[in-house]
Amino acid sequence: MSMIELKKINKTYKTGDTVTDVFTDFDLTIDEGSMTAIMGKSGSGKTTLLNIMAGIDYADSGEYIFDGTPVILKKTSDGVSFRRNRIGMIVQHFALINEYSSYENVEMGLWESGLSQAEQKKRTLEAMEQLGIADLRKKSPLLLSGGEKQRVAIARAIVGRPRILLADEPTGSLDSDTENEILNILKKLNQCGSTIVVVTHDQEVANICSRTITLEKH
Amino acid sequence: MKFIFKSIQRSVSSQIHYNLVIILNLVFSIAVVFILLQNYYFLKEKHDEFFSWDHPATTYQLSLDTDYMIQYLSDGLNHTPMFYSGKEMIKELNNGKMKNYTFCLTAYVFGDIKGASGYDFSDNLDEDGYVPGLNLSPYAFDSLGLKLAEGRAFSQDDFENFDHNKAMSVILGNNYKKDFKIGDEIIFKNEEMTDKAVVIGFLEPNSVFGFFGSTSADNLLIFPCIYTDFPRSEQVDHEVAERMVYTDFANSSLYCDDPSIDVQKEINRLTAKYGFYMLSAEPIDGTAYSETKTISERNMFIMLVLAIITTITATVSIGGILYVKAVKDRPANCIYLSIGIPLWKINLAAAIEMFIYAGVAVCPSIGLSVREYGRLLIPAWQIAICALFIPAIGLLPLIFANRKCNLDLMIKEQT
Repeated sequence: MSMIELKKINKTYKTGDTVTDVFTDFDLTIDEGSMTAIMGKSGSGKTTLLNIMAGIDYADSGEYIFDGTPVILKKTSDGVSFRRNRIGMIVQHFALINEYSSYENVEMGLWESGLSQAEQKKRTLEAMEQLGIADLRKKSPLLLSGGEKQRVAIARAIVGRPRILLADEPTGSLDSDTENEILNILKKLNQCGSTIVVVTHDQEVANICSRTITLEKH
Repeated sequence: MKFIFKSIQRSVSSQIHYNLVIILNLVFSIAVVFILLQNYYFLKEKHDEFFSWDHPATTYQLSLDTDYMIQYLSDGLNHTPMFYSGKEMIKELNNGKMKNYTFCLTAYVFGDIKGASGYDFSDNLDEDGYVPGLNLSPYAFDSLGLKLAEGRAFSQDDFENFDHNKAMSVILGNNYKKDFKIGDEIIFKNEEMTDKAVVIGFLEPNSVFGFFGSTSADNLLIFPCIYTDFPRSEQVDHEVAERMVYTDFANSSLYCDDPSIDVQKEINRLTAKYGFYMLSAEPIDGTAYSETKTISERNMFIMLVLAIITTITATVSIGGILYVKAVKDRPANCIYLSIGIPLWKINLAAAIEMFIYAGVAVCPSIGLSVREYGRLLIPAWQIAICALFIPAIGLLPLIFANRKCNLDLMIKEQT
């Protein structure tokens, strides 16, 4: 079953008088439970595609179907509510808030969930245990290594039990040992049923994915 | 709620320098606006009190040119022909529609003052520790607008009664009504002698006196002015009393509620008739005060304009700080947006934080104001506007800055 369907997507960027076509009648299907790598050169539209899937950016025309339902986003707030509990985001530089502890950074993913305090605590600890970072819960992200930070970020992305994880260069700023560690975690999550889309330049990342889509620069 | 609490907690602890600048800015700007508004209301209160007339003057101040004052006093002392013609002139003046009067506040502090039934006046002293009293000349009671709740006003006999053996008449402020009744005696006692007064009436509740009705009369003891010490230590010479009436006249007040009478013209007619010194009669109420009223209105307007300018300056300043703060906070706000926290909630958290600061910042102003005036002159809803307007408008640049938050920006900023 398709988790995401993009049909005849068109997207252009205007910079002054210059118009750049990013996508022309672009079609894409992401199946539920799949792990897809999106590769391509800089400027090929990888991040734009991820933004469209995350509801951060809009296509000029075309149809976006998420989990069988058409997604119609007219303003920023529509994208925010669309993402909530549907999409988990992971980015290259972790996007953690240093003033919060690791626990709070993970729990943050549930603040708008409407769950009780006890349930939020239970799920947060479960996610942290799943990622092997339960003992780091009181530490500030400033005191964590790159791998630990990315684990906290992944825990935050999965704590709300989203339908899909969108990762933008998740291993881009990690050394090779830590990269393998994170890739194993993503692989395990996928094996447990999570649908994952990874934007990457790294062939090793693409190798662990069940499908690779390469975007061409227009 | 959890997000709002956590967001405020984070903002308070992570941006201490900005927050301190904001709080100090709010404290000083709110204090200045508050002081200006407080003064505006103080001025307005007094302005409304003083300039509420929309009718011709009824009260005038008589005055004699200082060049003639020594001669005038000498006339009184030596009973010159001018003294006698002056006496006649005063009599004619008071027989017409104009009434001349004097009054003076007196403080009774000597010995014990007690009601015959045991009431101790020491329980009812004014803020300076005195029993407040008022001595009125004939015509002063009505001219000052005083009214009786019960009893009678002073009669001519009350003013001419210099007999030490007889009790003086006294009219009491309304606060004494529960402890005294008409006919009760008040005993004044010191080491040398005892004197007494008999209650003949009570003022209406909430009575005020003075040219501008600005002083409460509820605790007053009102005596007829008979030009003697009180307690009366000796029999007073009628001639001395007449001299005092004469010498007080040149600086006394004049009451005339007939707008058809040109008071200065009438005074000129009388002085010319009796060959008396030239007197001027200056109105001290009514629309004759229009120039002073205009100045007062201008002062109020200036206060208001200064308050508005200070508010705008403070708002721009706070807005600038909040914009910088919002830009610094943008990565965190992008993260919030990425996990599904709506922008309005991010802005709400910032607004609540600002209103907390404003609440803290307004406290010193309220405290100082209450200490200074003993009460708040500004209505509560205006205090709220004063405290909330600056942060509310100052938040607009922050909201504008936060509108630019998105995940794309977060990815770009972090990479």
